[in-house]
Amino acid sequence: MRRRAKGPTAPAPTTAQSLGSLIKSARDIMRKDKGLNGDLDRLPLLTWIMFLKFLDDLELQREEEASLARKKFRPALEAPYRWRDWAANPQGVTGDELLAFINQDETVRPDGTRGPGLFAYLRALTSANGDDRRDVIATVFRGVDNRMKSGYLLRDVINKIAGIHFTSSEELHTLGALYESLLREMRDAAGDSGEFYTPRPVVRFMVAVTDPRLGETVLDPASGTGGFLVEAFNHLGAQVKTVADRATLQRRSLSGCEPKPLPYLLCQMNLLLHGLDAPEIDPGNALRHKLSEIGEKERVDVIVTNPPFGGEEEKGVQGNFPEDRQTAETALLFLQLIMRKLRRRPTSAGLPARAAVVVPNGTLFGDGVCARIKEELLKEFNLHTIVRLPNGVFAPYTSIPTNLLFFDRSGPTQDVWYYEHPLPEGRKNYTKTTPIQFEEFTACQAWWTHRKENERAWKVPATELLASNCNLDRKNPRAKEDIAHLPPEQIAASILEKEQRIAEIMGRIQKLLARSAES
Amino acid sequence: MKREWPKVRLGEVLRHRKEFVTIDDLTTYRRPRVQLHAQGIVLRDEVPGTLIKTKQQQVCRAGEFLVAEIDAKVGGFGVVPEALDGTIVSSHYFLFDLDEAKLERGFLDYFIRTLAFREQVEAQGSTNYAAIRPADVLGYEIPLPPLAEQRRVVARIEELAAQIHEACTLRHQTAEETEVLVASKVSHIFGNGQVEGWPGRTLGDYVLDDCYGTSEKTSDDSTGIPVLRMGNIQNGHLDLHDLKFLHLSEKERAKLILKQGDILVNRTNSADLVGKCAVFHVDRDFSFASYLIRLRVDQERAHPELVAAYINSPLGRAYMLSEKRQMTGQANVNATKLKALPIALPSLPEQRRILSELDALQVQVDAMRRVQTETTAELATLLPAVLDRAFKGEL
Repeated sequence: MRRRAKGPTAPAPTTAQSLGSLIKSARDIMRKDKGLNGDLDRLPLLTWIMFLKFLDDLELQREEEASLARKKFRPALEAPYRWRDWAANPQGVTGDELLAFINQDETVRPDGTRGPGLFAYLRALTSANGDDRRDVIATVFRGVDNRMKSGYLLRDVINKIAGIHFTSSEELHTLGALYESLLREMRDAAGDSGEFYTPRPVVRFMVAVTDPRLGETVLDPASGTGGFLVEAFNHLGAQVKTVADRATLQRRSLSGCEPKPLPYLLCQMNLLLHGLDAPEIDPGNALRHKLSEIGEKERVDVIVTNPPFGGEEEKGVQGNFPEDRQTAETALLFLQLIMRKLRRRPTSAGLPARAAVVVPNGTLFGDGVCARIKEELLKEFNLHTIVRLPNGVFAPYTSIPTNLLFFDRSGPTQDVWYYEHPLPEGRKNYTKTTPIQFEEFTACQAWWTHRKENERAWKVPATELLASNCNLDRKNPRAKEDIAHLPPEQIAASILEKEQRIAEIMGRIQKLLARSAES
Repeated sequence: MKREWPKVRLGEVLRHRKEFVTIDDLTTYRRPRVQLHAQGIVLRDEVPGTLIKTKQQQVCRAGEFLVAEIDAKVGGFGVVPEALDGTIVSSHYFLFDLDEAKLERGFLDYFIRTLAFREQVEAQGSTNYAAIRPADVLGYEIPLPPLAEQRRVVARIEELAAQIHEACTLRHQTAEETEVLVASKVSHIFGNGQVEGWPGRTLGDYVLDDCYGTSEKTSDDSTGIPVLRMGNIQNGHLDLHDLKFLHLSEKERAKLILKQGDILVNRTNSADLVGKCAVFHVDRDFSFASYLIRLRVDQERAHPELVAAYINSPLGRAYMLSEKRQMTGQANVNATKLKALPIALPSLPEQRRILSELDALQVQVDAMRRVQTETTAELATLLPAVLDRAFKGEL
């Protein structure tokens, strides 16, 4: 047979193509299950299964490395909970037996002995044996449930995922891209989950101009699904030259914080798939520490983030902030945290510690607590740039206009540069189906390094902003004036002048047509 | 002078090119949109390969004739512009290569916009089957003069098209300006009011009574009392279409039945519409919904029509924009904020005089708008007429 001629059977090569269809067929199987409703349920399910397979692939590899180096290997998971024990065999445990093993607190395990069920076991893991990964695993699984009702369908999904080789870097790269597109689809599927997802072009732009250097530490205190951290990881990855550089990137560069279990899981997976071996994501609320107790040791060099807007935090959280700075608006609490978290001394790259933050319009014009925070921002920090984004960039999550604040530790502020991001020609706003594109930031990036005032960019002295009670909501002075604000005489004159020009043009057209009739 | 040009089938100058590529998940692709009614091809979007589910696609080349299988009968075709070279389309589109030794791109591009061509496409197949086949396209006829003549015709059309385009753009602008003329007049009357020494007050000083509408569930049962909702306020007037109804108790009637001269202000809407208002003057019982605030002004001192015109003017809009509350979603203006609106009103006779002046202006503006609408429609037919002439060989 022809197939024989190809030689010994190597593991089937998975291309971007086959990975894509593999994920697709896994999703199709999940669609048949009665317990799952929409992508919001399917993606977490797919993720935890992938997570366990990923873990086992990694452990197998480490075990091999350890045995070559004649070192003792301590696995994070014990038998019979490892993927290879219960999932790897496509004919293995299935149906109700499989559901019982996964869901129940105590059950008959696939190897015939009695013991805790899979999730119960995973949730009870602790790092007592000195392995931090066990904490991560426990946190991840405390936040997820198995929603699938059919053990047979679940077995089919597991068998699909078994076809992915998480140790191949090429496959990881592809999976990372696939996973990102799944996250985006999840946002499209349910309005609410948009809060976990910042449009990728905005993230890329913020990371590109903040330009973290290798050796600097990068934090996103509201990680969501990890978009900023992935982008920062890629940005830093391009600077890696040596093995030591690689180690710096992997171990000492990125950290995040995400208190909600679902995005926490998705964020872990997203970073793992993009090649970060041990993502350092804090599963607690970033606002739970007393602001005044954050010292130089907890500070970082670069913060890029899109904090939640408008959400209400419990009273206890507000108590962590100075009395005259307490508010229910989460964006403002996060802004204070970010200011506090920036390192005071220049970073290892000799640059001031810096931040890029997405804020709603309300933050720019707010008074009271908001104004006090902005005063500090102007007096203690260098708030050098505000990029004003048009409506709909965050659709469908919110349609309100948003702004990107860029500030650093080289304060106080002299001038604030404003840049008004224009909508593409002929468009009234961005929508879910026609979102913002990264290429649209090209003009702003070019302007970033060679700043001049133009019809989109203008400069306001900090003294002027401080004098106006820190109202940062400044309109573009060169913006085309709304015609309705012109005097009526001027409008009438303008109409008359244009109608006369139309009449002249009609005269010319008439002549042109007459010429052809003669010729 | 009329020239006789040979007519040939498109099959003699076009070749159906059917080549597919496989979409790579990690590449970003651009996709074109073929606008209906032969309005040309524009960029639709850029998408990563992972999001394209159909992995077999065709690559467009500049200058090719692109036809949408399903939309062709409504003018879903065009010539691919240079900027869209390399965009991808699905198998539901047909791409045709031009024989540029015989046919000029621009000549085809204009020809496909003519009625003569559109009619050929629409005539194909049964009326109930929308799609067309590549063979149909190759069967359409095109008048085909020598290349030099084609270029001359294209140049002539371009000359005229540019003029027509400029006229359309200007007309579009004048239409917008006409639209705001009266509102701008209102703004300036009130802006000058201070110069004239009108006493500066707030709207609240003239309001006798204000209240929010009913939040009871309304129905289509027309035996009840019609309830005005925010959609019934259109451009400063009440639009009495699309009404909902409600049965009111005697107690509620006193509060919720509108009187002539009541001003209805929209308190919750999108940021650019919040605060729009209209005066109620219908001789029939009407109530109103909770997203509206009813203001009853002292008609001895304030003319409701003028007050409403002021609220709807750019000055009033600017006030709403600065006072609205909005974190996410809808913008809000409450009754307190509304009553704090600064307003300077002259004496009642003077108010009447201003209103009649505004009415006179409105009449002229309406007349102008009617003529503009007619000429705009005529302008739109000018290019097709020119094209028709051109392809008869008379241009």
